[in-house]
Amino acid sequence: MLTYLLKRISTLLLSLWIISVCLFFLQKMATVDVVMLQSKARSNGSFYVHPLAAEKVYRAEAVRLNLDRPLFYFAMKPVMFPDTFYKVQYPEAVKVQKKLLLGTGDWALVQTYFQALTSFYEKVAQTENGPVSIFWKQQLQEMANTSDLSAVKAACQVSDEMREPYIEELRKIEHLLDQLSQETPSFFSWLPSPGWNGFDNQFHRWFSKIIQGDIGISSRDGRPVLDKLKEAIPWTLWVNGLAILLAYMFAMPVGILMAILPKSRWLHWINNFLLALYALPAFWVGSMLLFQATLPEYGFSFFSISGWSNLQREGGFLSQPILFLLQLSLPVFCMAYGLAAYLTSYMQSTFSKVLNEPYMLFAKTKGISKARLYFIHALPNALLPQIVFVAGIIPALITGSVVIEVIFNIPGMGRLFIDSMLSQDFTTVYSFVLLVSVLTAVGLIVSDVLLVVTDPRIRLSRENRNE
Amino acid sequence: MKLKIFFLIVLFLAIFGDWIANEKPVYCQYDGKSYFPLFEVPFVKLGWIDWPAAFQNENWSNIPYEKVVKTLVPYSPETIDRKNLGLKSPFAVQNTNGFWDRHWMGTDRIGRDVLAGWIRGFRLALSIGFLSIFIAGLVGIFMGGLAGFYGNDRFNVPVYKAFVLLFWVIGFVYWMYQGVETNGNNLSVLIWLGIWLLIGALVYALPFMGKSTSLPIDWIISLIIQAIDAIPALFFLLALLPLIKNPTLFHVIILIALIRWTGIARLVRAEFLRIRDLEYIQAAQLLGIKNFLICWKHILPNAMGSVWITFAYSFAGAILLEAYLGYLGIGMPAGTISWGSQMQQVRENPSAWWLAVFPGLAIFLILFSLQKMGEKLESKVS
Repeated sequence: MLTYLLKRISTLLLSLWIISVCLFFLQKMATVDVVMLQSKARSNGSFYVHPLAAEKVYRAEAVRLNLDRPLFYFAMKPVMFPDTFYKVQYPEAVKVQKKLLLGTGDWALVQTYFQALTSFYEKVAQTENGPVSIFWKQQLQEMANTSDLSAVKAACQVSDEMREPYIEELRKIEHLLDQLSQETPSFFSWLPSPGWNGFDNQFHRWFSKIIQGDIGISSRDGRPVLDKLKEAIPWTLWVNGLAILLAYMFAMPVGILMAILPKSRWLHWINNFLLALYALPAFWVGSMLLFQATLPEYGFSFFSISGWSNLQREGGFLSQPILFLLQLSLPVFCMAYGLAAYLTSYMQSTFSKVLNEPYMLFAKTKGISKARLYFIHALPNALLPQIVFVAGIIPALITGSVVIEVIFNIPGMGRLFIDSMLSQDFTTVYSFVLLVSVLTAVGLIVSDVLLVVTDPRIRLSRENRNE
Repeated sequence: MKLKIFFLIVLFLAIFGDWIANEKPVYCQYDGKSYFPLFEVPFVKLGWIDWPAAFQNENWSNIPYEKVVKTLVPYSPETIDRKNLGLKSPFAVQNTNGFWDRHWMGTDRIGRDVLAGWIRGFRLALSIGFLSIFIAGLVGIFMGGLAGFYGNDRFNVPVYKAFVLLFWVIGFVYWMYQGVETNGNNLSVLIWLGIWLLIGALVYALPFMGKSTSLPIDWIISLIIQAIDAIPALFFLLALLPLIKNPTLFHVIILIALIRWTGIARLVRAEFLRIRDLEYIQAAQLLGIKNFLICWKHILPNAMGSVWITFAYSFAGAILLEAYLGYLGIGMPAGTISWGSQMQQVRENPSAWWLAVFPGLAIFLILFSLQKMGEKLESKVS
């Protein structure tokens, strides 16, 4: 038993780690630049600086956000790439320098060239604004943003009047350009060089923070994601919990009745009805109910379309819970009916399977009363798969509750997820996916272990099969 | 039987929907000449047939035809009927030319015919369902079969060869990545890629002495399945979508397939695990039949019975996911008309019941009949 448990938990931890690695890289690949976003937020919405000055500003922001580190524990690059390539931060600069490096294969030279450009820019920036310096600022912007060496060279070759004040820098740059255009990467500089980045990398920081419970700060409004989640989770739990409870309360008696009662044509129709109920999309029913709720003459006046937050201000201490439950009634109904339909037919099939077991026949021939037969001997065995079943459908339930929450304006996890998605707040989105997957994985494992604990037959067969 | 007829109707609507609901008339006489605008579009694009200038105009309903035979629903899904803007109910008085032009399912906020969009929805739902399940089925059967047939103890590889193989795969990915980075223009990278492929061929051909160990391939694949299954489907889909700058239908199909293959793989794995221990498989192995042939010819046909059932259920799941995406308005390419996107409009106008009832009915009927089919297949198998 213990070995089975340990095995299960270790694979679970491993798969969660894999998920978190994938989510981390997805977060990095998402099309929003967090550093740029923050810099813009700090400088009141505009991030326009000269590309040669941007690197400094950008890097300062990256240092503040702890993003000035290599991405992962190890990386594989061509030999010509330096280990410290991640230190170039500004996306435009990264693009240009990478291209130059791939074209020439000499990192030191590329660096000197960029330093020459930067020092030239600094000198231009220090001199007073005149036609000459403004002209060179523009030229430098073009020169910094292209990896086409001949274009840079053409940008340097202007009239002597313009060149005169900065002739030294220009000569240096032209010299470097000549050197750069002569070099090409050697055949062997394309060989891979695996590099170990150590533990001070972005993934390690992110992951250890998550383990400590700090899942990050929303890149949209600067609030901790955990606080947002704490507000949202109770709602989702209420809706899902009530729906599961209701579904079971319906499914147990009805399912058992259907299994006990003699088979007839009615049963066939009820089965069809249950199947239809299960296939009925909840978000369709939800939006139709919402339409009904807007019209008071249908008797739905207890439901407020604008959501719970408006109701919160009304009502006294006693009427609050009632209002709360009334507000949840429609979404819970939408979540519950499909589940109830499925559980009923599931209950029916498991119960009638148990009824056909030899030991039931034995108990029957012993002359045990029907109530005892059904509730003491059959029910516990039929309940077992039901328990496990719930854990298995939790992912599907959460998926369904996303849409229901959006329809009925419930501030739960699904709504939060969709809202952060629409506002491109990817820190929240990915931490969120990680959290939900941890919850579901733990739910699955708990149900599995429960099943094994309660039913020794399963344990034996699993241990034999080395799963 | 009834199910078959229903599916045939759905398939017909999906394939010929654009000929049933189209603003271009089937036949018309204009300026003394006869045209078949519905069928002539590709020929006009090729330049084989010339249309009069009036046809180039976007609005087909205003052209003064001499004779005209319209399609069954004389609107395309995208046609904007300016005379019936702003949510005209099917029962309301509609400003149309005649009985034939009525909007039988009403119009939406910008005057598009709901029936035409509804018919287009069949094609979208079915193509997403079919293609994603096809891809998911391929991946799922391959992975599940691999895990189930070899298990943890039968995938025997010599230790050295396994290491070399791992190293080779990493290298291959590296060279491919470099090739993509340089757009395949770099001769050195291409030469290195060739060298690498040669090394692979040599390693494959050379006999390797040494101990064999079993690679726990079942464990590895089960781990991947477990990891994907831990993420609820919609979250998974929505987490992957922002990576794509301009999502197209193809992206959505691939992503849905990426989610749905695990269910198929789990079932295939279980079936393979069961069947590989049956006597006729052991007999086939003793006869020296190759593993691949055993899987393909002897195990897979036996396992397919229950795989078809998951196909039916996965199909339903894929259609539901597509409807969710349309309803939430995330991820589908802009301007796509689907059942979900029609129902989305109800959120802003709750009183427009016709925008919810008809698309929802279609989703419900398809899901129901798929469930019914799954149930029938199940009773057939058992």
